[in-house]
Amino acid sequence: MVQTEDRNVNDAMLVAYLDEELDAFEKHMIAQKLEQDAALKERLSFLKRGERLFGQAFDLLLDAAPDEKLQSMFSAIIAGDKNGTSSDTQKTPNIMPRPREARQLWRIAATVILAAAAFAGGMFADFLLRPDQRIQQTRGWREAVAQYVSLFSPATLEGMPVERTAQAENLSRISVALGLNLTVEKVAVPSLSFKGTQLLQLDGKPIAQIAYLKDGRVPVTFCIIKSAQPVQAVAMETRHGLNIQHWTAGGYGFMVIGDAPPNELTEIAGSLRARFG
Amino acid sequence: MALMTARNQDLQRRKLVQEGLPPLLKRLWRYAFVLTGDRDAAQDLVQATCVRALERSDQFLPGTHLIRWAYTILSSIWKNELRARRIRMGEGFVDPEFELVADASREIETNLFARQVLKEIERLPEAQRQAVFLVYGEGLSYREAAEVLDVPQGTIMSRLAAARTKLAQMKDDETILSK
Repeated sequence: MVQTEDRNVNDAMLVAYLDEELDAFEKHMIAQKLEQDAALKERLSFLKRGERLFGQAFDLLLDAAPDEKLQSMFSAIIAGDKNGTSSDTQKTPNIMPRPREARQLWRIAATVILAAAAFAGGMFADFLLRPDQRIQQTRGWREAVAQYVSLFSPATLEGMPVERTAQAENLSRISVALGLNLTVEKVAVPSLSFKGTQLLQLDGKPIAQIAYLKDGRVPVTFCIIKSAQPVQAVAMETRHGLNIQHWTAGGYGFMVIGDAPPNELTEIAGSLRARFG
Repeated sequence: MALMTARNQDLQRRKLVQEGLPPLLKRLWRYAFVLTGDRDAAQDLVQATCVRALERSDQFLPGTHLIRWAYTILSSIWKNELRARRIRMGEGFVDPEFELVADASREIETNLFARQVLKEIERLPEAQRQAVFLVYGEGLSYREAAEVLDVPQGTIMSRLAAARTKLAQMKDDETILSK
């Protein structure tokens, strides 16, 4: 498996070396090369940093498995077989899926398509959170956005498209992602110049971000996320040195954030709130 | 007479599969979850696997590991029948550059690190995630993992190397950010 030229001691072999998957000869050869080749040794320690306590992590998933549901699902399959089709199951187990199974696979495909759409954003580990932690996470969106927006400068917004058609297209794309009708008119704020939009995500949930510039130099953004939180009146807070006005209404969380005086931000939030619940 | 023997053998194998699967359902679900990332989809995938395993129980060789055989079926259903519908995971939602990461640093939980590891694993492409799960999670040898996934052993090696590279980069990035 292992070639004798140095160049062929690739990452795959180094990882196999770490995983003790090489035979004695290969192992000895790699060990020798590691002694002579500092770069190779450095590469090995880099790959070693890719180790994790995988067992513990995957055990969390085992604990989360719905055992009772799985057992009753299995019993139902056995019962179903006994009630009709079991004899031919045993005689001809190797043919094409029977109609019942074909239908079932189609249904599964539908579920999996939905799952795949959600997967990108972190549903995987997210479900492990307790319900109170999920709420914590919904609150966490303001922290995440504030952290991100705190890195903005006027130059950040300069790269956004200025053509009205492009802006409208972006808004309609974001509208679809959030299930909320956003138009250039609807997001216009008199005291701010509209710069453009971005679609962000936090743990799989889309976040609409509408960016403005105040007085030509202060970035202010209006952000929207889907939220299961109850209706909540406008409240003020400060994160990462930025003032925030936030509220919840109609199944969405809203926030206006920027390095603007609280009274100006209150006014902006009031104007947007009148349009967005 | 020969027919009778074959029939008896099939019945015996059917019994092994039928009685052997229930204690393995949680592990099958876990594998399905690693693939689908969704509780319900995982359960459905396990169900399809069980149906298929029972139908093909005559192919199960007594004395071999039932779980690995079932993993092979599960992997095949996923690969050939579900993912073949051009379902690609982890792509095309938003530019990853704009992904925001939840600030979970204040949560004091004993399994915080394990959850963090899961989050990192979830960021791996599916093929790498599977290899990591089978080899590092389930303790399969490279050869056994290759059999489950029906790929050459070299593919397992390169997927694990790619996964480790990505995970090592994540660790390095984290170190830079926390400085």
